[in-house]
Amino acid sequence: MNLEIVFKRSMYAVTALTGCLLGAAEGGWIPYGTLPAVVIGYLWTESQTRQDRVKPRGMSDALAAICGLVALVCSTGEFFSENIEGRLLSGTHLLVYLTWIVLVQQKTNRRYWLLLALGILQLAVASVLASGQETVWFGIGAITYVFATLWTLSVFSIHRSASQFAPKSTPLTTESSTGPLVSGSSIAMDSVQIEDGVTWITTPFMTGVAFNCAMSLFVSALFFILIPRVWIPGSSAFGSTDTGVRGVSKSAFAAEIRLGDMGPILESLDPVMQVKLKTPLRASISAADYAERLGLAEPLFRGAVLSIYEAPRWKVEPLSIQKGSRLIPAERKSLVRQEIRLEDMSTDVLLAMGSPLGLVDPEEHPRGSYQALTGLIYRYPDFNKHGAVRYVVYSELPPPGGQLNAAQPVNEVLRQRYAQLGYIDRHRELPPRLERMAKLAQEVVGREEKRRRTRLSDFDKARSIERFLRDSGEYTYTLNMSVDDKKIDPIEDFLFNRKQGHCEYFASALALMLRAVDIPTRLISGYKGGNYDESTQTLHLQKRHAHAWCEAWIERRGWVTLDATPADERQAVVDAASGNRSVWTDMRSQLVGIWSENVVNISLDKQEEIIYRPVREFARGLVKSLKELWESPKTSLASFFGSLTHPLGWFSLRGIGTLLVLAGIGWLVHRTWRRIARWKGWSRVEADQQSTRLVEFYERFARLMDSLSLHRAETQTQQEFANQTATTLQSRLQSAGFSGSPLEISELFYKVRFGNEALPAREADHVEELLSGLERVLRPQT
Amino acid sequence: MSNAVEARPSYPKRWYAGVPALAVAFAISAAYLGVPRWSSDLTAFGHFVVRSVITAFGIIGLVQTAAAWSHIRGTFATPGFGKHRMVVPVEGIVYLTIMFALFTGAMLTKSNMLLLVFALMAGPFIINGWMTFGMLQATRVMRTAPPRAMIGELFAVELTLSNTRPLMSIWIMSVRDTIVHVREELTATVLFARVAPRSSQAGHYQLRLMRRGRFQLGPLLTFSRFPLGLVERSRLFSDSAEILVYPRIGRLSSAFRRRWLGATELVARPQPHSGVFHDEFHRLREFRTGDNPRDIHWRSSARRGELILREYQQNRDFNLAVVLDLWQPDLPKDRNPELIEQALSFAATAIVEHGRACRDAILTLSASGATSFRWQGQGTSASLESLLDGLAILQPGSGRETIPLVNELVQRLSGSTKVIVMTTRPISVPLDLHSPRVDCLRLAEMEFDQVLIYDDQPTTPHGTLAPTNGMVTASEG
Repeated sequence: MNLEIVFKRSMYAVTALTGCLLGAAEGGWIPYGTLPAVVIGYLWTESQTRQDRVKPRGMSDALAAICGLVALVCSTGEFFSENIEGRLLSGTHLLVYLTWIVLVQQKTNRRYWLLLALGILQLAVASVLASGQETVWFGIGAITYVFATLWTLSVFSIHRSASQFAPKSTPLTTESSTGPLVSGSSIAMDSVQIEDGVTWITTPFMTGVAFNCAMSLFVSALFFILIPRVWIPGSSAFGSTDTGVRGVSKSAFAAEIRLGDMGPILESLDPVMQVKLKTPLRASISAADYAERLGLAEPLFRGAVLSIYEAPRWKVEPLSIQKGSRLIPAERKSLVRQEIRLEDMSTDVLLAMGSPLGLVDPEEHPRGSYQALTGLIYRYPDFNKHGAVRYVVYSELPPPGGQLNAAQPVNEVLRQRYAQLGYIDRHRELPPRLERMAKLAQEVVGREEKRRRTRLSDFDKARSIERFLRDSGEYTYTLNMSVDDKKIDPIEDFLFNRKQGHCEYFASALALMLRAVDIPTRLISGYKGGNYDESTQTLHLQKRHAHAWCEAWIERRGWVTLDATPADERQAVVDAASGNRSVWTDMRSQLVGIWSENVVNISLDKQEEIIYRPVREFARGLVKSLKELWESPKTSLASFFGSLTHPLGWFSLRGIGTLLVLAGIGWLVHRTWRRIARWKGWSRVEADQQSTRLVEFYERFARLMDSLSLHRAETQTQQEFANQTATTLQSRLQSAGFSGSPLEISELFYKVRFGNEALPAREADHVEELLSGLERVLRPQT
Repeated sequence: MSNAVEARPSYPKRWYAGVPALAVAFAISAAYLGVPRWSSDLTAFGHFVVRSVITAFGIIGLVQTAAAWSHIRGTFATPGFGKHRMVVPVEGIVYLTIMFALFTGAMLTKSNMLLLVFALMAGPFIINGWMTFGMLQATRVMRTAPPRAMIGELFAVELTLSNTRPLMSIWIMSVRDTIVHVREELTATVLFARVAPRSSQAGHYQLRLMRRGRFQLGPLLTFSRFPLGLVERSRLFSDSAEILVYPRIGRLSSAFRRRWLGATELVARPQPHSGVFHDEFHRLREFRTGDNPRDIHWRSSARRGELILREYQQNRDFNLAVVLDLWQPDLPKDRNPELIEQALSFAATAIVEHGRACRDAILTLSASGATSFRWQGQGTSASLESLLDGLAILQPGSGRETIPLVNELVQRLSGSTKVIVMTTRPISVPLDLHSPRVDCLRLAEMEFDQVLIYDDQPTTPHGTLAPTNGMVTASEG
């Protein structure tokens, strides 16, 4: 295909791809407008007939400037009318509008570059918009974009060179006039040497571009993995990292959650944390046993304490975000040691079971503080905020048969603090327009009081409402959410219309109903349950274990854990999330997990774990080996050869490293030897190249004949072949005055090949003239 | 077609050129990363500024060090190393700016996805540089140029590009040759689309040199922007050659030649044979009616029994000595380089034509300009080559040696030698010639286009030429 057509189509295809990627990331229709713009731009400005070639087509510069101004005004309007996400989108849309304008303008090389630059910027914006756990599609799209762009740029490079060297005027010939007879300006005429005559895009070219793409992606991957994630602290252009740009919770314990957000999380198998528990005697204890000691049916990990309900969201009370006191346990031997690895959740909160008394890193350095108001623990700012984190929490081991449902220890100091801040009272606040729900709560309590024929305590009231939601059978657990009545509060919609929901709805309903009967209640989000691996005695939690429950303030007991979610139904759904999965969904889940862990959420810790530390250890090992080799060469060599002959040794990081080092040494030796050989004149390479060069002109002649389907038979001499070609092409050669050229070339070939002599300059020029003439006559340029 | 003159960049020579900048970058980095309490109070903007400063100093230091080492390697290493150059065009600068913006954005927003896009841009950029560098490393260039050419002659210079790599091809590689003359400089470029691994490709560019003298070819600059066009890397090969450009040789007009031949009558020489021009015996033949009876060879006639005639052939060979007075005024504004070139072309043409016409004639040239040049030979190509070599580099001057040269020639040469003085002096500048054997051509007064014809010059209609001016067949006083 014609080089120009290939280039232009590639360029427009890349632009269209950018529009699609941005459209998918944004979720709006505007970026998809690039697709029709691409078609219109191509048809209007590029697909010109021969007659139109001289007349430029496309939008004029003046009109383009006006359109650009309009685009700027539109984007500015968006910028001032929207929130933070809207501001980003306004910039995005400006890029899109500019792309449309450039697409319908007459193209120059500069405008093609502009299109590519706009494309890259759009990809960058798309990457921000697509931030999230499940953005594998963006990764695939970005890789496709890299392939397409590298191909386009390579073709563009050739296209520019071909245009630059295209004959601009009549080529110099011996017959042309030279202007002044004796003196004047000398002229040098550039030229192009194409291996295969006229074709620019060949199979080797395509292979080369593919190789280039593969290498580029490899280097890009190295770049991405090796750049240390030392983020600039204290900055976030897009607001809270907990909620992400799209306002969607990335974890189950964000600072703000919207009802329904947890649904997709409950279907995810992405790992969240691993917990290993040890008793004071360093014996392992299962998480279930420890939960039982804590008075809980299942292990609970508190992640966020949400106090404010503004339909349809729960929010953290600002006061409770304040950091608390340092957690440095005095006597660690008497406490339960919780060794936890928490995946990147992009919050300061660290999860643990029970009431934490100490928080340290694996090297036993204090790394966190305790927030007494909420009972949560927070990491220090310098403790690896982004990425997976390992830490150890020390907590009390209650004796068997302890207080049931105790959520957080409350002492007198804390009570006074609560009273001082009015903390408890704020948890009685009920939003307006929930009268129907309040009435239901009172009815439930009233029914229970009537049944028991006694006035219920706060604790009993709470338990009765909890039982009503959980055990009455009126409400069922489901992840398939839909809203029946959008006009009313989603909790009332859940309680009176839908009567189906997941833990968020059950917990919210319980919290609000308790508040309706004047029991201070807060909503807790975190994780519940988990898969216990007996072999490693480790509890594995995944996102599907995310859960929401309540804590009610009971005057004498403190905060009491209440969970209105039907446990069996929830467990069934959670199991189904992992059980009813096809191979494809498993693969997808794996892929999403890998992507999420190694791309979206890669952190300095992760880099340390998978790259820096192994490299450091390998380097240390190498130094140690060299030291040993220096000190006792015999033993070291024996050990080295022993490890080389051990087949399993090669299938390890050490083996790969050794292989690379050996390959490097081999390459260095080879290179040095070649240098020395060249320096000493031992190399025959140059001489061989010289002799090859001498008959190059005959090869060129043979290639030319080959393109005309004239091949020299093995039994034919060069002269016989020349006679054959002269006869076959007699009419074409004779009319152009080249009838004797094949024979001349063959004679010169004999002279060079068998006479073992280089052609004099004049004869070389003559050969060049003959070959150029033959090429001109027999293979017209296209 | 290109006439661009390549700028030669200068590089720092000391090896430690980049050390201060690197040391500053290192010191700030150490303070920033090593003392957290200093950096903990910084705002996001402060962090950004500090990191930018570190990056800027680091880049400056690295660039300076690389440039210094490149220079040092170029000085001490074997030819072909340390000759690499890199230019980042506007497109590359924009690309790098976007990369920088993305990296900064990623660091500020803590966005791995943005960093991913940065990495996806960085990879191709690195590979682009690596590929181009690798291609240039594997490149060997050889030039084949004719050692001599004539003004206005079209000829080709062959450039052979070899790829020494065993696996990778060389793509879209341009080879630019520089052609330098004292009065002009031009460049010619050959683009090689692809050179397969371990093979060579020969390309050529065409030259039509319009100035006499030595043209220096080289160095050869190989450069490429392939594959992405974001960086242009080049490598310099100090391969040089020389082309000596002769004055142009045309042919004398028929009218001028007639006058030239007429003038030979005045050459004083003995007439040993029958006629003025019947000076060389050719053969014996039978007598025919109309033949001159005085040419009958009686002895042969008696022997053969019929009248046998001695036949002579014309022999107009005469020796020619040209004194070329390449005089030019002292003031540059009065000089006429065109006339000098025309004079040289005319002298060369006259000698070559005479050598062609009179094969055995002795040809002599004594030229006087800035320096003097003497030559004597015959009309063979080998002999003429040395004449043209001399004329190619002859420069005009005061012409002080012209009269001594004429006198020497007149005394030294036989009477059968025609001596012509060709001078570029106008009539207002006299040339004191006293010998009657000397013809003087005032070239400044001549209309060359009617005397000297070049093959690609349109001829005068009907092939007739106007009478020549400036031809003085008598000696001047």
